[in-house]
Amino acid sequence: MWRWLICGVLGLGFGVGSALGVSGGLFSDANITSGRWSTDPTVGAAAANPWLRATIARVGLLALTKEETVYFNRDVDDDGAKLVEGCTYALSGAAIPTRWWSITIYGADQMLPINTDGASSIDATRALVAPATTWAGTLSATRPTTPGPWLSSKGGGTYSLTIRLYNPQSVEKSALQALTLPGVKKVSCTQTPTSGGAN
Amino acid sequence: MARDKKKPGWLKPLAFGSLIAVLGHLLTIGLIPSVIMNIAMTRIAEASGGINRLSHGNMVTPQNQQIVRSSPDLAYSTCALDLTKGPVRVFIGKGADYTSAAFYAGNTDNVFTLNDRKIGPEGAHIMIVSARSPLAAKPGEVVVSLPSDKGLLLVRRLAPSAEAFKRVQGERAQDYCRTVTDGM
Repeated sequence: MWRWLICGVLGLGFGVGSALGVSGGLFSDANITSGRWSTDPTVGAAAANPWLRATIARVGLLALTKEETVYFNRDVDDDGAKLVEGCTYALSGAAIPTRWWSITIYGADQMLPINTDGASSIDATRALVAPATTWAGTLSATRPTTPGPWLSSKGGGTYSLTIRLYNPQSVEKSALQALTLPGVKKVSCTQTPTSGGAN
Repeated sequence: MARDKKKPGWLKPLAFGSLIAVLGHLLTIGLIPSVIMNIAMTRIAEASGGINRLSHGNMVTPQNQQIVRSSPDLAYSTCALDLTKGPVRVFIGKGADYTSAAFYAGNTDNVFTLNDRKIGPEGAHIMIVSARSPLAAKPGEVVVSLPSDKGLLLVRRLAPSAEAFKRVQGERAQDYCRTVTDGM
């Protein structure tokens, strides 16, 4: 009898634990990539499989469908290293064929990093002031001295970025893959970058 | 004389444990969306002073954020929907910039979104009905049918600056979400 009890308890623990584990990832089934950015086009849609739906509920509740907004995410820099609070990154981008876009920083808990910098996001209206067609900014934990928009990573630990593309011109896979989304190039670090992270 | 007594093995208990693991995994995955949605609806209803009432959020900051992955560039308005006592009527005023009203079912599916490109200068009148109890809408009303009695309405208005947020506060002042009481 005790064998059945042990196996049942362990099985239940493994089943529930694995469900919580796979649903806590950052769109781990993402199948469209553009550079280091990735997205899953079924976010928000009824076609989303139960695992993606559970993941969205935990890390991106109340997302819109791709026709309204496409959400690309990344947690690494252009060289593939994890984004960390201790490093400074140069951001660069150009006009994107979408009605409006914004980049937002989220900590491992999927919330905005706690700070009072007022720089949790960069959006098209602030980054691309006409007639400019390209922009350059900074992603760092301290306010930069260089001009351009700033995304504060203060309090972010090991974090991720999300770019929202509202009413994109096309949501076809080939069009999304062909997008030139902002670059995130490491400039310097005040500590050794860690390789881990919740995402 | 020794008797040949068969000892209980681990094979069947391990198979049982594996079955429990699969069932536990599937059940948990299936329940996560509705459980989290219920928590979100409860919080939104509390903030709005009840169900079927629209609540306008403040500018999102790290200090006041209520929900995962909210955007500081958007002004959010929310309404926890409960159609068990009948349909709900919604009005969304025309905005000067990006505006959308997104309707979510109890399982988190985004079943319908109306954005400002489809909202006329007089605003949008929307009737939300349950799939099991459809009701005729007034002329000019957009009808949204939810597959469940419970759901959420989330209105997003572009407001990437304090000035834009102030303008949005005026734009959404006439917005509402309320239970239909006139039988129409």
